[in-house]
Amino acid sequence: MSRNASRPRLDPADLPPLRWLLGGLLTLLGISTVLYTDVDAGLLMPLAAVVTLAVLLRPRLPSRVPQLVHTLAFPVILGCFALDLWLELELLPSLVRLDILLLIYRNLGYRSRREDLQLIVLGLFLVIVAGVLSVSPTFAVHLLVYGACALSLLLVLTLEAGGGPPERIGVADVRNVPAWVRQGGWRARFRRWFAVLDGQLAVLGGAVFVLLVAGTTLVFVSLPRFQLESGLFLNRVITKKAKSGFSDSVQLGEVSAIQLDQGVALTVDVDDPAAVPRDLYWRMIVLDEYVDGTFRMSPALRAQFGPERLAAQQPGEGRGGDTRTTAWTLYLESGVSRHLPLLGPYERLRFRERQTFRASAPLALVALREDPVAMLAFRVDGFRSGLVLPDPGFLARWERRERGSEPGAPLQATLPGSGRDRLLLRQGVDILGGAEGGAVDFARRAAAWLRERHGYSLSPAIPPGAGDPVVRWLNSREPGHCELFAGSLVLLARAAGFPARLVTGFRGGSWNGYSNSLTVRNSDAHAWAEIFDESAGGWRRVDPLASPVADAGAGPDTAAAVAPQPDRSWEARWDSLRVFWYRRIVSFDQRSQVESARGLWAAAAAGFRESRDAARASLEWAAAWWRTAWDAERLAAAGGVVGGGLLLLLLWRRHRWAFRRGPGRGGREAAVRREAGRWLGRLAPAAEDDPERAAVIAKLQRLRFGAAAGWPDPTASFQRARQLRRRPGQPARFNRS
Amino acid sequence: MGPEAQIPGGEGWEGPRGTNRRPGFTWRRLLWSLLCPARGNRVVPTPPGAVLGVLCAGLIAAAYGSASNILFITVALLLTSLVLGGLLGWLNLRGLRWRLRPPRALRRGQDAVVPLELRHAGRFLPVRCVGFEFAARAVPAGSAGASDLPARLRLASGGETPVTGRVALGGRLDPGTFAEVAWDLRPARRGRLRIELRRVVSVFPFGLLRRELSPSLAIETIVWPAPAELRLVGAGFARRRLEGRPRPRAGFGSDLLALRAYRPGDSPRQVHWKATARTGSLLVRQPAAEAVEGYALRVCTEAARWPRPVQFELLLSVASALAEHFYRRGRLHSFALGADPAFAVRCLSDLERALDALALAEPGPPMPAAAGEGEIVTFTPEGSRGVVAWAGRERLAVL
Repeated sequence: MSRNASRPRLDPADLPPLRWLLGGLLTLLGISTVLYTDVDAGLLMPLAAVVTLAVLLRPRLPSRVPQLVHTLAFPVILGCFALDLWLELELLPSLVRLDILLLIYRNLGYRSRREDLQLIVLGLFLVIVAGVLSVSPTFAVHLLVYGACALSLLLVLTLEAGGGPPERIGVADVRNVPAWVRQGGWRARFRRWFAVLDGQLAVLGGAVFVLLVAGTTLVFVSLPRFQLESGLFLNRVITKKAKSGFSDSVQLGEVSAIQLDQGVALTVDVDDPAAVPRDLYWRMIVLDEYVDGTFRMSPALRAQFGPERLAAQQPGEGRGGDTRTTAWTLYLESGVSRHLPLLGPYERLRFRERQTFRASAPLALVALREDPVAMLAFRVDGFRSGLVLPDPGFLARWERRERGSEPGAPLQATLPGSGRDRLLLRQGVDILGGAEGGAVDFARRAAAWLRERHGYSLSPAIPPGAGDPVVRWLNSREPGHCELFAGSLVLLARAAGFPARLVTGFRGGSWNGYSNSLTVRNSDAHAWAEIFDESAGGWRRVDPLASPVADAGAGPDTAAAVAPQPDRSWEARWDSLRVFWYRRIVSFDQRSQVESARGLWAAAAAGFRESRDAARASLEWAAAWWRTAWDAERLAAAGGVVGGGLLLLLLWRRHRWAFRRGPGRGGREAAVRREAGRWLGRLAPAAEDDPERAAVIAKLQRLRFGAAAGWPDPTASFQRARQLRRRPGQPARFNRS
Repeated sequence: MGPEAQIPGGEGWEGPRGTNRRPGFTWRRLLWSLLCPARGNRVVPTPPGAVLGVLCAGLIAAAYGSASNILFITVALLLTSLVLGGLLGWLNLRGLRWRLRPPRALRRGQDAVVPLELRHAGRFLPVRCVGFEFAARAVPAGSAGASDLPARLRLASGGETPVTGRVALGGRLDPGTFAEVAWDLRPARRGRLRIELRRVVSVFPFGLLRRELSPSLAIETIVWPAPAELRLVGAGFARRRLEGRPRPRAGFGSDLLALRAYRPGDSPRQVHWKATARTGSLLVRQPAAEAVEGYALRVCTEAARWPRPVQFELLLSVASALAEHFYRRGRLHSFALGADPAFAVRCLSDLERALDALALAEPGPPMPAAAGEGEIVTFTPEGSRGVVAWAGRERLAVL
């Protein structure tokens, strides 16, 4: 009690600087979320951070801001917003920049209660927008920290107002320097806050935070899930362009540029890891038209896409003969492409929410109308990945052409137009031995020839000169990247009379040993070729940079799967968190709710059964133990248990008062008084010739009845009383005080 | 009062659940209270809480429109904050007890303090940020029987706008400690005054929800007339000793009234050593009050004599001021108001009885003629606004 009384208490004067600090922190937290969005706030963000930090460290600075700034602030900010909106024609980025401007201004003046509340809402807007746009797992941490700081600020505002009505301070007071600004520095303030912080307050704050997290989780899981409308509403207020080169038109070097990025592009959950093939080729775009270093999708190929439709699922044609359909859940990061990465034909594709897309069964491709503004999750059932993509339509046209029934109909877009380039390509075909042996044999020979002539490099050197760049590189011995290899193979195959096309996407991926999922990074971006194989009735994948075994079609690609090699690096740990976030949080839906409820029920039932079985087993063990013959060892064990229990009981009886804390009936003071009363009852009154006993009794009486501030040490007093009671000649129990 | 102060006990304590402690906790009772909250116990959103509610509603619409779990998480956080705020607010008020202790009487037109005693009966968390809303309203004459009704109904039945005020508990109230807040009140009318603790309000902890308790705590007190500033005139007001007529009450005269036990502060000269030696306990002399000429106040409230309410109020003010003036000098022998019989004024409670009578006085029938000890003081109107006090035929005071 005396310690509590001497501890400094939180004073109303301690609160305004704490409010100022929390407001600054909230501003910093809010603007830092813009970092993981694509909103262009290049100048505003550093400006906001600098202003916030400056006024945090030097709270006097706002008093030096001219009154003119406060007068013109809102018209200027609104004007900037209108101009921004007019120039950019995008609502959400303009709103984000407006928000940052308002946050800057809110930090340029001393805030009233109302303005602190505005600041909370402004920061929360940034956090929410960033979370929705990025769907990043850091959003959860960010939101929780922001929520904790915001609630702390609200608590400080409430404490500052006390039980009275809230203060009303207008905008005109923003330059009135508060008294706390003139008193002391941050070091003294922190020292003071630390002094007033007691254990109870810290525990209470921690408990409230834990409750906040637990409650948020509970409410999140319990909120009923159904969708009222289609599509993410953010699509209407922001447009997002894919950063990568996976678009309808790919220039040489664009795919290789993606490989420089180590970020995650795709995370894949497979319900049967054994079904993951060794050679993974995630097809995204097929490009069959080539003009001067640029591959495009020809109008004929575009026509193979079906009509645009708004739906949550798309049936495929990949129904194979497997007895069990493997489900693949793919999480495509934002900014990759609007073309979905697929392994090949599929049985069924489902989105979490309805999307506007076009699908092509012969190409085994799906393209969304817009680049997704946030992470896109979709599930594919029954992938049929293989070396050959069947194309019955093209086969029929090919056969008709071979039979001469359609002599003039072009099967594909033409080769480069320059006669010299055609000549060079023809020479290359001749070197390779012509078209003898069919498409597969030619492709194998061409790939081997390219690998033999050229090395691999992300920084290729294409010889200067006239003509097509791919042909120039082909005729050199310079190293090149995947697009040059694949493009060369396509041109050579066409020159030999075999239909061929370029495919871009991702190759491979690493198996995360922590989350048991597949991670595909942007560095796995790749381009390869597909050549029409008449004998197989479809397009055969040819990767000049792959191992010859895989190209030969003798690997596990064709049939069986291989066990994935797990990645257990630190990066994989972080990725596993991301996968957990995607699996459990982002993909949480009505079905997950039902599964969670069932799982909870099953766990509760199992827990009950286990507890019951454990109790029954314990009883049986105790009964068996009791029936067993007694020996010295068992007697010692039983005695030890009983003795330990008695010892604990004794210790508790003697020192129970010391475990109490705080004032009040249940607090330490009352416990000490009760204990002193017990000892006064046990000790006989002191005789005249026993001053020691009299002194102990006096101390106990002070503990029993005196003010807590003047107490002697309770532990020593009770110890002394215990010693006196053990002394021989101690009379029988006296009446209890 | 500091935390070490002795916690007052006694009756009259009221808490969030009323004066009578209800039976223990049961889940059924808790669920029922959620469906049907106790009367006078409500939670309303504050303006920031309403903004948060609107924000929540917008986010919910967006979340359901987009099936975005990010928005669902945000909604969950906001809803949890609201619920957590409500829970902490409930815990904050749970252990608080209050008791209204108004003064015995107030003076019209003068500042008075209405103390509200607070006690924290909880064990763990301190109480913070609690406001108390008071209301005071004059009780119409003849409505004494209505005091059985709940205070809110009684106040609502009256036509007069009550005087309201709000005080806050500054700082924190730790478990097991006691504090007191005071409402400064200036009554505008004499008579009975009902003081009510209308609401106990708290927006703790986040200021998003305001928890309002409407306790049925009301007490009645009395407002004495405003004391008039007297202008004393006439030679009869001079103090004259009356030989041989000691006053039978304690005072500081030279005559011995009685012996009494020693009290701290008594002068040692007053100790009666012989009696002390005989009885074995310390006894002191108690002198009698000086015998002075006294007055018998007779306040006639005849309606025909005092037709103007303002003048009537002035009469009561003059009478109360004179009564107190005479009492302080030990010269008030008796008091009579209107048709009521006169009573002797011997002690402070008699004076208070006289002032109570003046506080409740209404114009009435003529006053019967009566004799009394001392010189009779009567009152007559002076013009249309003034009042004159007469001692016999001599003007005593004018206002």
